[in-house]
Amino acid sequence: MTPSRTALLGLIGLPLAFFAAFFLIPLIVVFVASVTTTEGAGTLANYSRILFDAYHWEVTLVTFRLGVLTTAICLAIGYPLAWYLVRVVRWRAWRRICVILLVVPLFTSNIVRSFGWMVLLGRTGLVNDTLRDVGLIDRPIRFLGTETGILIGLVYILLPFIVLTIGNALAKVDRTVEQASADLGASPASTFWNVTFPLSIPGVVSGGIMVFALSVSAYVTPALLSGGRVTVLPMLVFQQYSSVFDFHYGGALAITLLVFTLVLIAAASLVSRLGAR
Amino acid sequence: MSLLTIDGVSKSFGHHKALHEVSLTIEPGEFVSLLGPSGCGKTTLLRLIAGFMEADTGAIHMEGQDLTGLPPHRRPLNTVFQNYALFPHLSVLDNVAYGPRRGGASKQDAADRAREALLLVGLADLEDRYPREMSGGQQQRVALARAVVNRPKLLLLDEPLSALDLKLRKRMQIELKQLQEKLGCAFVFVTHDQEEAMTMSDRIAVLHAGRIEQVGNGAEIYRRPRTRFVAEFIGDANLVPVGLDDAGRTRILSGGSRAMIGTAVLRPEHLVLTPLRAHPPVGDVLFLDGRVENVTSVGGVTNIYVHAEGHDLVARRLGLAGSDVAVGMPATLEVRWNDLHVLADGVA
Repeated sequence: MTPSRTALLGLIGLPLAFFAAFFLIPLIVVFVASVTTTEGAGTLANYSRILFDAYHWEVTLVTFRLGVLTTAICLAIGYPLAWYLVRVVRWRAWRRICVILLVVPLFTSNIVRSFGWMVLLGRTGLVNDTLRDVGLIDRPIRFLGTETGILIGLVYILLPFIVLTIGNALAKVDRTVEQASADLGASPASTFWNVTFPLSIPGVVSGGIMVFALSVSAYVTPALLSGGRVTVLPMLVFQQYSSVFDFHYGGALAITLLVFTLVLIAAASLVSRLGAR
Repeated sequence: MSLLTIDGVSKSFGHHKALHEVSLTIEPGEFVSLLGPSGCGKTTLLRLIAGFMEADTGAIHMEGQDLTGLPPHRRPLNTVFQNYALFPHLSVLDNVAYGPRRGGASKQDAADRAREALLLVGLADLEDRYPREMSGGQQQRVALARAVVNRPKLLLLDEPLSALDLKLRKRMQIELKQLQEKLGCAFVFVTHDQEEAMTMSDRIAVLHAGRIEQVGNGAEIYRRPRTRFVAEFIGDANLVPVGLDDAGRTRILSGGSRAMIGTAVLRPEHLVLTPLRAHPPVGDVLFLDGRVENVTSVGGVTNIYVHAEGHDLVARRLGLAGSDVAVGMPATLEVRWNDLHVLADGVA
């Protein structure tokens, strides 16, 4: 039986309508606001205000520096962690416990977790106390209000995403392909670099993109851990929307963040594709 | 010196004993099949040789070198995997060149050798393809080329043809055998298909429940099976009890007689329907009287099921059933004594 034309239209139309209503239209609203004045006339003044101002460039630089570092550190910690979960853990119950430990923090609020790090990273917090007791430092290190503090918070919050995506990709790698590699004379390290790692790249890329996008658009964690001393783009956007009520300037900031993010992701995927050749 | 010596190898998984004291030697350039039903331990044995598992007891030597504890990448042999296990992210050429590259060949040298191997399996013009763009048969050939590119003295093949359709499988059987002869390399071929084993092998090792039941060439195993299992697994078999008569001669017993000394195998093609009526056993011929129970024709072969002297027997002849056979007709089967083979483990 072939479905009727109306049924087909419904099948195509419903998801389309869903995406339009929840993703496309809000974006258009923000974009339209960013290129109009309060009176409704078209303008690019909001963008020139951002692009011809050193302060905005500085904020953008901090935002993306944090994004790149967060992604890099998450990958560096997340890959071995995912490997451990998928390849090293033999006991299924223990693996399940590890995954639960990884996922449960996602159920609690971002704000609570960021406050937790404020307590841990404070002048007399657990981290400084421990470092002092061990004798590694004499005076407490200032984490709060620095990029390092924000970085620690972001890595902690975003790590589960990358572990889960890489773990998923690693679990999909066919073990007999690795055996074939060993059979052809490749040492375990050579098998990893020539077979396992290339086959897990889809997980690395999707996890990396997710963490990068989430870290450059993060508001709560940078806001709480910056102590007002470090500013990132989402904080500027939030100010414009919630305190200044300038939706036009705020919209332009949001679109700027979006464009920069997309350009960076495109560049990264281009580089990785060229590297794969 | 033998190429490969397997000496008293056992392997258990938990309580399940997969291999029991298995011993086998492989000579250089020989084609040996490990034949048995699924779960008989044939794949386990192959994995032990390749080094993906270690035996619990016993040792495997290759050209005098003890392979125990040697990881797979340091064993001088190659494997064709059941699902081919091609590298999905590499082109056909890079798949085949993988072995030489790991062996330290330059990129150019490895590519040259890979092309040579691809030529050998008839895929020279597909080197830029990726595995997912190829048919099952082509992937099979890539896997073969990849495994022989390093010119191993021993190639292990784990049911490499089982995923192919019947027609292609038959063609590949012949090609594989030709390739093996051309390379002069020993093949250890795992299969559950007795016809496949018969077609290609110099020798067949029949495995059952973790033990080697019999080793020999195809004709030997078919004509003189050592055990009941081998008799029934290789080809079709009529199994009948035999005993000694007063004159000390072997004869077929009807029903469960105490005089039974063993079980004999009668191959269906050795049972000949004869127009002659029953005779006392004279010379080297034996007659069995009975009644035709059923007749089936498969292709050019006719199976005639006869109930004779207390046994259900099947006789086979080429061509279609003639007018001489119909269900319910009385029938006499003629057997030559020489075709009667008594099993070693007969009393069972």
